[in-house]
Order: sequence, then structure tokens, then C-alpha cells
Amino acid sequence: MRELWWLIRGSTRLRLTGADVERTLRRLMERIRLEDIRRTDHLTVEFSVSASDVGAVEAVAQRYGDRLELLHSSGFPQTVEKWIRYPVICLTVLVLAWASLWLQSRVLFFRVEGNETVPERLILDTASQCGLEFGCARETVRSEQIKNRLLDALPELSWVGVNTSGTVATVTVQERQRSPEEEPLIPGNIVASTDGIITDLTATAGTPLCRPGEGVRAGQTLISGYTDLGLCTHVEAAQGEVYALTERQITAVLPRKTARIPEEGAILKKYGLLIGKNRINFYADSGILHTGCGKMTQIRVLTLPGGWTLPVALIVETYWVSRPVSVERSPEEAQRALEAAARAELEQQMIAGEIRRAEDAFAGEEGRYRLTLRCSCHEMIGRRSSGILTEGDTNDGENGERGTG
Amino acid sequence: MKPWKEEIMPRTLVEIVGKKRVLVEHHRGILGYGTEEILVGTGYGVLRIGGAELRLCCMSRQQLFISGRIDSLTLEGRE
Repeated sequence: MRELWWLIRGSTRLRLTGADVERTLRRLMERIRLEDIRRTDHLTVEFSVSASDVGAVEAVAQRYGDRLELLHSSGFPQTVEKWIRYPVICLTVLVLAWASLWLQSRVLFFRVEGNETVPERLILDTASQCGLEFGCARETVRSEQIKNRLLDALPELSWVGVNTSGTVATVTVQERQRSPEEEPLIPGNIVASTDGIITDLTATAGTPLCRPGEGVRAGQTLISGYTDLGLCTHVEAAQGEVYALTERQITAVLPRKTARIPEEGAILKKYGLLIGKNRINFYADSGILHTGCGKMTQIRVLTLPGGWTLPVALIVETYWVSRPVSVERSPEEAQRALEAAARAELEQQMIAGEIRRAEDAFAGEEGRYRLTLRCSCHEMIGRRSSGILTEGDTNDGENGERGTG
Repeated sequence: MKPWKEEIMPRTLVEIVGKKRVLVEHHRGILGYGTEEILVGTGYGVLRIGGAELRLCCMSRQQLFISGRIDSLTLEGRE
């Protein structure tokens, strides 16, 4: 305890050299408290006194003709006096100390958990309307208010929870699960979307009207939702999967010439700073170029170690100022592009399946290239039709014969 | 009735804690200081403290605190 008190008051270590140091010590002790007195040799003694008593020690030493040396000073007042010589460092330390205490009570980082289809940005933007934003005080975060607001704004969510821990606010959501049984099923049939030869048929509801190996035409009923039971007709929504071999053909055209912006040209860069939702542009003009150009915008978000992002971002806009030139495509390039586009279109047209064999016919015409792609596909051709009962769609429940249309 | 000097001036008190510390109150200062012997003036004479690695921890007008290995305490005084 005494050491702590001396640390707070501050102490000075002195070295006294004289012929009769005991006499000097006796004189000093009448007015001053001496600590840690050590004899180094028969003429010299070292001791510690309070910083405020150094003057009195000097006076006594001078009176008896002893030599006094100041070895070192320590304690809180001496440390403060030393640091005051560096005001910038002192100010920085004070600012950092204040920031470390103040920032602990603020929300600086956000985390969203449990979302699969709902974007994280959408959840955070909606929550920010209730006060959950960067730098807000933790005690002002109203969990119930944010929860109600999110559930009202985002019907895809079934449950929301908001928790704060330190400077991190975690928004936990649970998305609404829509089970297949919730979708209304209208009574109807499964019909063929295109011509083909059935390879596989699986009926989970309804009555199948064809078998694997049979050829079907587009629109033909594959699985019927109506079953004639004699006394009554059982009606349901037909369900199932029907796979068939089909032949598809698609034609794609591409102009011979295209406009391209050459890589060489004047490149201009402009910078800006994004702080939260406020943007600061580091250029004086409006940023609108009165000429044709290409523009690329890069946003570099300030990210701390561990993946924590801050709402500060550097915006770099790069402009290519150059005139487009007309360039003729080579036949190889055109064929590759046409083939890729045709395949992508075919796959999009199919409900499910794959292209097993493809043959293409590529030709150059005046001003354009043409590619015709013929494919043999194995795809799912069954699709639901409306629940309209038509002649020939019924099924005799007793004999299992298929009605002919 | 006691002499007035004894009533005004307090008596020297020597307190020994084990063999390592000695507290002397109401002393009259250091007469000699060494690591093996320390002489302390008292109202009854000279208090000679012998030992090894003797050190004055603190000294003020009221108290004198000595630490180290205390081997002997001798009071050589006047009557």
C-alpha cells in the first residue's frame, strides 16, 4: 500500500556523499521521511524522498557541505510531466482511450443467419429503418420492433430474432417453408409437350394412357386425371414424370459484322468515397462524359481481418474513351457463338433432360451467318394441362382400355 | 509526581519482529550505519543492532525501520 502511495505521489532517488552522512541523515529525518536508505560506501548513502522534499534535502546538504546527486524520478506526476512534452501522442492516446470505451456501446458489425433465398442486404436495409444501423447505441436496439417490421416487410420470413453481443448485431431469420401440399392442385391431365417416343413413365396420381416404347404426339394425354369407375368418375390432378426421346431443331442467325470498342483509347479514372449511404466524389465536375465511352465501376469495401466489413468503400470508376469500330466476325468465331446460343436455348426449352446427339449445319449468307442445330434429346415431356374433360380422355376402370380420341 | 521531562518527552520503543525487522520509535537519529551494524541514538543511550545485510527501510522523526538478519540488540546507555 505504501508503494502504491509513493507511486501516486511520485518519488526521487538521491545520492548523498559527505564526511558525516549520519549527521546529515539525522538532520533530514527531523523534517522529511526517508525511504530505502542504502549505504554504498562509508562516505555515500542513497535514499528516496518524496518529490516535493527534494528542495529541503538540497538545502540541508548544502548547509553541511555534502554533495547531492539526483539519480532518477519516478511516479505518476513525473510520468505525466514527461508525456506532456509530446502533446500529439497524448491526444492520440486520449482519443483512442475514449473511442475504446465509447465504441463498446455501439453496433459496428452486422451478421445475418438463417437466410437462404432472402438477400442479406434486403434484411439489413429493412432493419435499418427501425434504427439498427452502423454506429447506433446498443440500448436503442428494439428487438421486438425490428422483428415486427421485418415480418411485415418480408412475407418470406416466418420468424426473426435480433441479438447484440459486443459490437455485433446478429439478425437470425427463418424462412417460410412452402410444402408441396400447400399448392392447390387443379384436376387435370399430364399431356405431351412435344412429339417423342416414350422411354420411361412414372405415374404417381392418375391413370397412365401410354407405355414405354409408344410414340406420342404433342398435346396427347399421357396420364389422365379422370377414371371412369362405372357408377362415377374419379377426378384428381394427374401427377407423374414421362421421359421420351425427341428430335428438336433450332436455327440461329448472327450478323457478319459487329461493333467493338478497341482496347486502346484514352483511359480516365475517377475516385469517390462511400461512407454509409453518403458518397463523396473526389472530382469537381458532374462526372458525365459527353462522348461515347465504356465505364467500369469498382467498389472496394473496407474489410477488417476476420471478414468484418465496415460501411466505408472506395469507388473507382474507369472510363474508356474510344469510338467503336465495325469488325467482321470470323466464321469459326460465329459458329462457336451460334452453337453455344442454340444449345442454351434448347436446354432452356426442355423441362428436364439432356441433349444426346447434335448435328449442326453452318452456312454463311449475305450479311449474316446461319446455323441449324438438330438434336436428339432425352427429356421430360409431361406437362400439366387444364382440368377440362375432353372426349377420349376418360379411362374405363373395368377393362383398363385406353379411350381413342 | 514524575519529573516534567519524562511527562513531555515520550519514551523510546523498540519492537522486534522475528529476526528480520526492528522498529524503533521516538529515537534520536542514526549514529552509525553499516550493513553489519547500525547505531541508533535513544533517550537511554545507544542502541546497537548487529547482524547481516542490515538496511534502513525508512526513517522519520518518529520511526526508524530496519530490516535484515538481526543477530543482536545491545543497549549501551547511561543510567
